[in-house]
Amino acid sequence: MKATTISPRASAPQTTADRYLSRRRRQHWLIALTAMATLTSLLIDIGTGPGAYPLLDVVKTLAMPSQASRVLQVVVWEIRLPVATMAIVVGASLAVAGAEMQTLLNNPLADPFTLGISSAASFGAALAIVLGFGVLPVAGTLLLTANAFALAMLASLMIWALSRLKGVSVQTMVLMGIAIMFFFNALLGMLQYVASAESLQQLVFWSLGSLNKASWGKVALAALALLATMPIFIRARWQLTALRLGETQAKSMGIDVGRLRLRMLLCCALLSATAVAFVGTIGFVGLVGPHIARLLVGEDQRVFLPMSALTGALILSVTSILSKTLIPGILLPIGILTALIGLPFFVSLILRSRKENWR
Amino acid sequence: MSLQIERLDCSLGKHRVLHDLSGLTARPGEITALIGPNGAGKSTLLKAIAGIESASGHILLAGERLDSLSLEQRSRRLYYLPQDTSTQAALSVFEAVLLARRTQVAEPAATALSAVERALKSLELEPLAERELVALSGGQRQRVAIAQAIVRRPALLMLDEPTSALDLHHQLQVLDYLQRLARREAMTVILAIHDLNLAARFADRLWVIKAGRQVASGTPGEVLTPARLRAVYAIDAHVEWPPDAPPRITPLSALRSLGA
Repeated sequence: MKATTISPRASAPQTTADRYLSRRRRQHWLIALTAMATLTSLLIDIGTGPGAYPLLDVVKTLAMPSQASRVLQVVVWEIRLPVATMAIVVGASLAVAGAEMQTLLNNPLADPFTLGISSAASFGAALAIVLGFGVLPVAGTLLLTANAFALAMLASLMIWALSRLKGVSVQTMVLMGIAIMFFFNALLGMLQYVASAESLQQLVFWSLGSLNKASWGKVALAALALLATMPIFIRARWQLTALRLGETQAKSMGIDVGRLRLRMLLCCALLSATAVAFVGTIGFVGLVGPHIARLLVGEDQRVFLPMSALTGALILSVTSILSKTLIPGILLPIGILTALIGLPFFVSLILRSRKENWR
Repeated sequence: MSLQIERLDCSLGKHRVLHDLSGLTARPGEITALIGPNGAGKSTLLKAIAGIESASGHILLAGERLDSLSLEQRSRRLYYLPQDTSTQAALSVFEAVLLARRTQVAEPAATALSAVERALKSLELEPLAERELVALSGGQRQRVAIAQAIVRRPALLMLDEPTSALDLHHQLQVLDYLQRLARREAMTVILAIHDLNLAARFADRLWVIKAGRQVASGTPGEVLTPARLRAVYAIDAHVEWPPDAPPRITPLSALRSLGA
């Protein structure tokens, strides 16, 4: 550290608490900046598409819809805003679920995708598309979503149920997640094998992930899951942070680790199942979002949780813009892009986690 | 607060680790060292007192039965510092110590921050306050863990091998600090420790266990005899009690050698 010169007019030296408080202020600024970036991305996303609109027009239409043209009103409010908002909500949901899964399972590679929740949802979708079979008593356009949700919930609950068994380590739970992923991938493969060409095309399109079928109703349901679970995570912020010090130390701090893990995994299950059911398989957001948040603000859940939500939202929102602009005139499936962006990051994480030896 | 243990049994799976431990007492203002060979059950005993491992029997702290309290209720009275404090958490030293305080008491932020500052100062951790836990050496991490323990000001503080990763300077410094802390705050401190010289020097009372059974308890002078060291550790040792100086234990030879 550089030595400081003491002058007669020098102010009192900073205490450790002062330095901690300035670190907190930096963290809050970073959160505010990421929130602003996410908002900007949302506006650009709304303006981007077959008919591109300047940012100012988008803002005006959002602020004063009655003064905008009817076409702009419809495009912004009825077509693009639900899709752009869905990107924000799903990105935030997947990243929060990933952040808490990584915390609860003490594994940097845990997220809804790597733990088989997305594979289970894909199988649920395949049941609806290929066989027309509904897991829940719903029909019509909701059949596919309901199936995907039910199967994603089932996969999450399988991991959750395993965590209830006495003496099961977090490593076992992660391995169980991987086993679930292979199991549902095998079932999905079987359905793909017997599917007609038309069903197969529909299934492939769904599993590549798409925000395009977003409606205000779906956005509201996805947002509801996020709004319902966030206060639960926020309330448990100290306990969740303590869990990163290791199970024994967390227990020593009076935390009932088993109960905490059960409650929080249930919330993660709800978040990821809802997100995947509405938009299909979108990998890596739940993995990469929390890691960027961790690098920026650390793992104090008071800042880690909102930062994870924002980075996840920002990643998916930017990906949504890229999906419309990378090849002009063609809308790329968003799941492909998140995988392409996330894959190098995923590999670097594996290599880094080998070095850091997560316990 | 005085700690008493009666008829304590603990099993891990099908393996019975602690056998009917009775008559063990630790007093406030004193350091009690828990000694015994590897696998004696020292960590399990401390975890059983903390409620981290389930056990049967009576554990009384100031007359109150700890074994009837929940983990959270126990954590308001005591703190157990595990031997392994390694972590990959992306937290600064200040945040980690604050976390230990915040999980115990709800208080104004300024009070918590002052408590953390005091804890960091007493363990000379101020220069490391902003450093991330992952960037610390084993010894520094151990001192942070001790700061996390003392910032909670528990009535009963249990530390599992708290000096195992520390250099000689910090071993003496930390144990001296714990001794003064125990006296000043009338805190009951129990240390699981392998170094018998440090135990003899800093502990007021020793508990000796072997294979989960109680072998002896008493002052270092009563407990640390060549015959007992032979029985417990299977070693020949020379025990010296110089006047007005801490006792010196010199291990001479192991009674059994490993196969070649």
